[in-house]
Formats: sequence, C-alpha cells, structure tokens
Amino acid sequence: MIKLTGVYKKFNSQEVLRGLDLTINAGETMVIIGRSGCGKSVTLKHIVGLMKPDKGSVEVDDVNISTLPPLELQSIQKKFGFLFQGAALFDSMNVSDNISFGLRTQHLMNDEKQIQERVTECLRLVGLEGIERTMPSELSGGMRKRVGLARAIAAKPQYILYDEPTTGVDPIMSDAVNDLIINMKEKLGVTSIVVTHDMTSAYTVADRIAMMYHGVIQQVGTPDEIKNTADPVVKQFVAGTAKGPITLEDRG
Amino acid sequence: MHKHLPGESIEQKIEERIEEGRFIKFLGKNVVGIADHIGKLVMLFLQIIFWTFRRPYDYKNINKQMNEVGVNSLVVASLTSVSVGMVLALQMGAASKNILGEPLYVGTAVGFSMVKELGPVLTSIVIAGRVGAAITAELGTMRVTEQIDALYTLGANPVKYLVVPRFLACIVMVPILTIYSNILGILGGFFVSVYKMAIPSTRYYHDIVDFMRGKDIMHGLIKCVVFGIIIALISCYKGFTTEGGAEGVGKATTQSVVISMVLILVVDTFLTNILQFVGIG
Repeated sequence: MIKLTGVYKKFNSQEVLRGLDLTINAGETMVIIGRSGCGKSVTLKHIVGLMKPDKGSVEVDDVNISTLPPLELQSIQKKFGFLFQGAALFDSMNVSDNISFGLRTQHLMNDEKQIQERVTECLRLVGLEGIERTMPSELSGGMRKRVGLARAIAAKPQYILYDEPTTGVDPIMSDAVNDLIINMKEKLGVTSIVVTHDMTSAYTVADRIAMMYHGVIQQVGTPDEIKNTADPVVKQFVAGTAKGPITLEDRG
Repeated sequence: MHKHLPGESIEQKIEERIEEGRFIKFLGKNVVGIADHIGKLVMLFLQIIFWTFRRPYDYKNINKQMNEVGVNSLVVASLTSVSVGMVLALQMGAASKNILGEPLYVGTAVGFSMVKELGPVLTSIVIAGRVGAAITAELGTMRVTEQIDALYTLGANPVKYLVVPRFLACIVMVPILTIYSNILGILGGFFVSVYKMAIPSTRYYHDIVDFMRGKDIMHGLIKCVVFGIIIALISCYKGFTTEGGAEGVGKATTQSVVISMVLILVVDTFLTNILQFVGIG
C-alpha cells in the first residue's frame, strides 16, 4: 500500500503540491488525471523517492520513505518499476542492455541465457520482438516508450508507475498498452499508478481515478463515479471542454 | 546612520534606502548561493569516497573512462607539452644569452618549469577542456532526459555507476598524463637546445639531473592529483545539477570548464605555497 499524507512541494516560488493526500491500495490500478503541469509527474517521483516532500509523508508498505537514508531507500526503490514520460532509455546501451539493466544491477538473474530469455519475453509483451541489438537513437518515439515499458516490467516489480504510457503511441498500440497494464494486474497482482490525460485509457485500466487540481486531489472515485461526477472541475476536465471553472491560463 | 542633510529630499533618502536594500539582498543571495554549492560539492565528494570503497567494482566502466580520459587525451597533451618545452628553451636560451653572453641553465629552467608548474597545470587545463566538458555534457543530458532518475529506479546508484569511474579515471590519468607531458616537454626543450642553440646534450642533461630532487617531482604530482579531483568533482557536479533542456546542458558545460580552469589556477597558487611551506619542492 502507498499512502501520501499532507505532501507539500515547492520549486523556487512555485508551490506544486499543497497538502496532497492519496492512498493506493495493494493490487489496484490508480489513475491520476489532471492538466499538464499540475504536478502529476512530481507526485509519481515522490512515491518512488526521487523527490522528497518539503512537508508531509510518503509511506510505502508502512515505511515512511521521505526520511529514509539512501541505502535503505534504494532497497525500497527495487519494489518499483517506472515508465518515464520520455522513456529515459540509456543512450549508450542497446535495447537488450537497457531492458536487462535492472536485472543485472539488482542481481536478480546471473545466468546470461536466463537474462536474454527475459529480455525477449518483455519485448514480446510490448510487441517489439527482434530489436535487441538496436540502439535507442534509432527508435521512434512510440517504440522508445514501449522499450521503456519493457524495462519497467523486466524485474517483475511489485509496483509499476506509468508516466503517460499512451502519449505518443498510435491508437492501436495504445490499446495494447492498456491491455498490458490490465494483464500485469490480473496475472501478477501488480499495483499500478498511471498518470495520463488520455481519458479512454483512464476509463479502461482504472480501478479508481484521482483528479489532481491546484496541488491537491480534487476527487477520487471509480471510473463510473468520475464519469457521472457532480464536481464542476472534474466534470469539465473529463468532458474536455474549454469553458468552465478551469480556465486556459489556470494550469491547476 | 543617515542624517537628514540640508538639500537632501525625503525621496532621495528613500531611494538610497531602497538601493541599500537591493544591494544587501543581492549580496545575501549570492553568498547563500555559493555556500549552497560548496555544501553540495562536499556532499558529493563524501558520497564519491563512500561509493569508491564499496564493492563490486565496475571494471568495464572504469576501464572505458580511463581510456577516455587518458589514452584519448594523448595527442592533445603531447602537442601542448612539446610546444611549451620548446618555447621555454627558446626563451630561456635567448634571455641568458642576452644577459650572460651564452645560453645557460636552459635544461634547469625547462625541467623545473615543466615538472613543478607547467606540466601539471597545462595538462590539467587541457583535460578540463576536453574531458571535463564531455563529462558535464553527458551527465547533463542524462539528467534532463531523466536517465539519472531511471538509474535510481533500476537499483543503480548514479554516484557509484556514473561518478566513481570518472573520478578514478581523472585522479589516476591526470598524473600519468602529467608525467608523460613532463617527459615530452623536456624532450622538446632538448631538441631546441641541442639543434638550435648548440648546447651539448650532456650539459642539458646535467642541468636537469644535477639539480632536480625527488621532492620536486613529488611537488608536481601532488598538484595534479588535486587538479584531477577538481576536474572530476566540478564536471560531475555540474552535470548532475543541470536543468533546462539543451540550453541548460550548454550552459552547464561552459560553466564546468570555466570553473575548473579558474579553480586549477587559483588552487595552484595556494598549493604551491603550502607545499613549499611543508618542504615539498
């Protein structure tokens, strides 16, 4: 279980998180929606310990990770797989080395044959067989993202955080990514947190959806609750209309 | 205290106070900013020491960086040191000829200048430009494309994985390149002395070995280890703290090279004083 309590975060003078509370139960898929720049990615980075809150706490399986020393934090971070917005593939390594990186650094597998099998399996799951020796610079944006996804799932983590998994991916592949997220949950019991503004994807994969606005969670609910919400802010966002309480200048 | 002088209006006084306020704010901001950087540099240095002594060692990566810092800098280090050695010999030869009527102590001047000052400083500056820039640009790009964050999430510590190999490469390779530069510089001076100024080769040789002691060589080597630390520390720190996309990487790289070069020269002054004070060279 992941629990964020009263999380505040400020960058220079800009307050991004203003007392955010959110609980993600074990085994569920939580989708976080909200406007670009409202702090969704920042929230994800707090969950995995890449950022520390100015105030408040982030608990992963009842351990407060915001006060942990680096080495202990590193052992908690092994529970996570993270798909970055821009994939964040290592430029100096080919696809296979990228995917197997976590397996090697965490010594999860030592047998080279086993590692290669896992790499092939992960690539098959994201529909990219046979590109093991390709360098990231030779891949398209969507392909990079899928390799990033393969890397995130390679070590079979307990939690997977997806930062905009369907952005820049074609509609057919986007549906395949949704299936993959659902499969990870159903087959492996993975807890997923998905940041997106793709509402189709959100409704498909989510057990619960949380809408972020002005640095806090505006509403949390099941996809049906969010679809039929009475909250004008959430209503405007999910309907995708320019008119309403959220103005174009208001980044949330 | 400001006294209200005759002829000085209230507006002028207010204006002055605002100016003072701005000045103090400006000063405070900079002092706090510099203190913040120094604190973070010390933290990074401590982390490097911690991770350097923690197994397992990534020999493949260390080897790659040693190649990058050492082997790939050979050509540029050779050209610099040979030229400097030759110029030193020419200048010393001409100066002593003007004053004393014949070129004297050319070997001594070239040898001591190279071993104690120019070898360490010039080699370090060349490496700061070539390798320091590359390190900052590479790590900075990794920072802005979230690759450094990705390392954390894949269970690899970026200091251990990225900084330690570069740090080791710098503190091992800068001294080795310096010794190599010293030899080439002295050889450059030798060719000019023997073939242009007709100084007997044995005299050039004795001008050096009769006066140079082990601690003179130590003096130069201690310096270049410190310069190696400066190059690695500044370039990695600047890379790690890069923000703001491609423009940010450009800025960080420039700053890294400028700060390293200036620091090498400033630290050299203090270090020479300290080393002379404790009797090394």
